Amino acid sequence: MSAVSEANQENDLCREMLLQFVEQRGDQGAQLLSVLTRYIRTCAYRHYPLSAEDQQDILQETAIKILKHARQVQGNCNAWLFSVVRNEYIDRLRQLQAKQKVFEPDADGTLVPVAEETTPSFALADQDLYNQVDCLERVFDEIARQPTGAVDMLIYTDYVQGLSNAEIAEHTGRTIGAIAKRLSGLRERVWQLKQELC
Amino acid sequence: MANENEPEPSEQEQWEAIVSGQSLPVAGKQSDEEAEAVRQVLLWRQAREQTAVITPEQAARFYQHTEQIRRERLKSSRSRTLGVLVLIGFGLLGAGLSLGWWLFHKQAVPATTTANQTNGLSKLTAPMIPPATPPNDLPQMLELPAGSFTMGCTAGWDDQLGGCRENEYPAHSVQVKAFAMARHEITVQQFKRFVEATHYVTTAEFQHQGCAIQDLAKPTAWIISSEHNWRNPSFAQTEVHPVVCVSWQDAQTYTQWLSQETGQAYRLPTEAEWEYAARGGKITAFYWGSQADRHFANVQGVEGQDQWAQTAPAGQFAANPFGLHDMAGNVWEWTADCWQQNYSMNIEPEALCQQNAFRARRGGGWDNVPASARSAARSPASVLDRSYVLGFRVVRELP
Repeated sequence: MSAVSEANQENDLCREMLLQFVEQRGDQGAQLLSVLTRYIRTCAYRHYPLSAEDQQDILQETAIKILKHARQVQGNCNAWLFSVVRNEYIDRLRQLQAKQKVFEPDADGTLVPVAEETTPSFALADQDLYNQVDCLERVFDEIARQPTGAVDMLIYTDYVQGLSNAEIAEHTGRTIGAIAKRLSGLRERVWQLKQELC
Repeated sequence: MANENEPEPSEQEQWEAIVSGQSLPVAGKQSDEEAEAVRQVLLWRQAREQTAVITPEQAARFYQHTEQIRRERLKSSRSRTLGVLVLIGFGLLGAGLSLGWWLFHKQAVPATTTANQTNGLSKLTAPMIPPATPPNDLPQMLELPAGSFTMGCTAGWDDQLGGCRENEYPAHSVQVKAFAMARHEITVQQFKRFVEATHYVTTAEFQHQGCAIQDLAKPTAWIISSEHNWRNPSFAQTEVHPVVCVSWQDAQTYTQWLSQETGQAYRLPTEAEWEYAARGGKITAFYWGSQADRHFANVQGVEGQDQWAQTAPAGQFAANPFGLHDMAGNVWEWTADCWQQNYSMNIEPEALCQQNAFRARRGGGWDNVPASARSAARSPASVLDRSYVLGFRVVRELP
């Protein structure tokens, strides 16, 4: 199957998932809500902790946006969906950060926020979110299409979840050295494919 | 905090640490942000590949909840806009009155409050729906305000009674101008006045072409019975029953006569006007809710308040919020619009009418299951079709 038809198929599946929710057909959107819930939970698990209520709010706000705009989605459906949930997540984090910000009086007695040593980045939080995601999706689609793509993607997804090289090696049946090699080449591989595909 | 004795990680090590979730990316540092983007997209892809953790029932409940919130927000944002407009209106009115008072006193011109002005003000506080009276030989018209509504099948609302038909999709927002609509379906008495005044011969009566009725020998089949027409549709009707066995042409001719008779512009409703009127501001499948209820409509069978096997006299069931009776059930009602298969077709009305001789009918009839009487339900019929479940009601244009 060609790269284009695979991408189209992926896109069609995503649209079908969206419409099942919006039009309350098939599984009535259970698959879509499962994907969103898992992503939100994963985000909340490590770096950007949020309460269960906040996670539920993000899911709700995402769903409302989906109901409002799902029929106008053009282009890469998965990238659009990701942009929506990601933006909602970041908005929620920013609201919490604003509430928790520490203020101190300056020399004139005006309250100013205390400068933080480093501000955690909300990567993919800008206006260009959709394009960036669309590009990275193409990159990983291309990787997945290679002869060793399925295993490579398994290695990468294990890695982003914080598994050690030894754990990934056990999970994928490769040696630790092979895992380290695949991972060390990931950055270069992504960079090169971005130049080619985006 | 980093140990001062530890060497700074290389950019590659830092990139890997972020992708693997061991370090937080720092805002503004490009390589960190790139690494975080890779991490997030991989997490997103992984989330897409796992099996569902939510059941269809949970998804349906969640949908109802979020759709409700979305609608409430939409409503409140409209109310806020309306509030601002009202405030501006009152401001201008106040300014106008002050100016008027000043001019009155300055120029000492005698002024009287005209009847029209008084009526205009009292109209604002008067009840919108005049009290019901039994139908007489001219239709009683109710004015409906301009408004917007969602036309067609809205998932989670209109489809709660076993789904919608293909031709009800997609749901879309429609603006409707103010118009007046007949409180009841056109009755036998009203149609009789027209026929007596004009000696009009209906399609069914012309050369005994007849009216479609169900075959008594085989109830699932329909036959054109030459002996039946609006005067005798095969079951007993009094003068206040809705007229049936009338074709679209018959209905159209009636509206032309009524316009001449009254000097006002009467016509058949458009599909959008009809659905707007039928919903009465409700998103649910019927104006009273999502489920069938014989307290409100004459549909197939006899049970509870629905004691009519065929047509019921006009106005036997509770009116909808606009004061209209029998918008669900009793008889199918002709609309002015040419039939389109669904709402996604972007065809000009003239082109649509050239393509087919079908017109849309709405509301469901006494022989239908309740699902066919939903506000969004629609069905086509040829301009010459006439049957004992098919009638009409009229609208009047407002100046």
